[in-house]
Amino acid sequence: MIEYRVVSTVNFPFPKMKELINEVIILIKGKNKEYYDMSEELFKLISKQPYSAGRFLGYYRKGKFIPSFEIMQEYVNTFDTDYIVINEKAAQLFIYGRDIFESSVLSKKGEGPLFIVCNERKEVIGLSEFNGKIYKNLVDIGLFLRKYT
Amino acid sequence: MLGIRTNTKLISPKELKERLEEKGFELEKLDFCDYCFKLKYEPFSISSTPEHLLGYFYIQDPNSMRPPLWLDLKSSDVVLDMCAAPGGKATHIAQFATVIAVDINVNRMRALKSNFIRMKLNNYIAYRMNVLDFEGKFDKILLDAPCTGTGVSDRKVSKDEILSFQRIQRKLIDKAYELLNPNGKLIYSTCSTTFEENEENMEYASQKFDVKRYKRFPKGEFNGFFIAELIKK
Repeated sequence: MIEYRVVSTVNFPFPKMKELINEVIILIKGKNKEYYDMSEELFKLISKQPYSAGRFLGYYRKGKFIPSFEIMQEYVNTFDTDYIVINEKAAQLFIYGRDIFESSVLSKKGEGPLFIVCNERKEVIGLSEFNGKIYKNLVDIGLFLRKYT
Repeated sequence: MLGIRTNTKLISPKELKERLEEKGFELEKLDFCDYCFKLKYEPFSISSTPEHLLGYFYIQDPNSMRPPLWLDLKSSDVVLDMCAAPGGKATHIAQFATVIAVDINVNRMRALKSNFIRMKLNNYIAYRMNVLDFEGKFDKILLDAPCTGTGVSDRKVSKDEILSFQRIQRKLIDKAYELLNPNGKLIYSTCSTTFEENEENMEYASQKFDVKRYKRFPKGEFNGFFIAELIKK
């Protein structure tokens, strides 16, 4: 059963991410809890339970909030922190679900252990968690390809 | 031949073309859409490129790019897409206006949601429901109707099947009439080449609409397609 309601808080992995979110947030309960935000104008157009709507913020997976690629990109562009830039070869492997070796990291900003993963153009391609040896792939843009094609 | 439509919200057609050509793809701009390309050669599947995964373009048949262009979109428009999934035309509309996307098929709706998220297009609301039960009032509606698909494949279709689709299409045309404001615009399209699903339906629709124009795009380099513009009387 899909439901929606207005909610005020989401546990973002990077606290400053909240500064990028609109006041109006809706939660859609399905298999995962998915969060979207939107303008007041769009919110006023909602007439019944939507399947999805507005800007996707992310979803909860095993109790952890996984932010959307869009929010991660905005976060990197705005705050310039908590990300790694990796080389092209590693980026190609990463979008097929692989982890990242430290030798593939060209630059790093932030303390971790969570790092947004960017390619050499500083485009967000996923999220990783550094365990002291490798950056574990938590989510990557190849998910679309693996799930829907 | 497939085509790609640039997501102009994220990248310019020029930059996209350059990036894909660097990887060995050959693209040619379409004469009817200046941010859309014919895909003339692909060294590997274009769907697996980072540019696709980053939402910089949508892969579709070039003739499928036409119906949203017929809507003459403005940023203040709120357009209803009646049979929206998997979102090829709905995401196209969302590049220029707000779209309310309705469809009943659960798998196709998952794909629609994924396409909106991948392309980072936010001015949309998607409802999974039978559009015949949908309520509201709109100035512009797109009805890309379910059809036999004879413009896409060469499979044989029976007269019964054609008439069965015609009945569904007419129900949807009637529903579009109900959902439109006076003088509202309906763009009707199918990827079928049969007379019954297209011209005959326009004859049916002319009882309630001014059929302003329609055009048949024969199957050839691209899929066969039919598009009509109707104004509510």
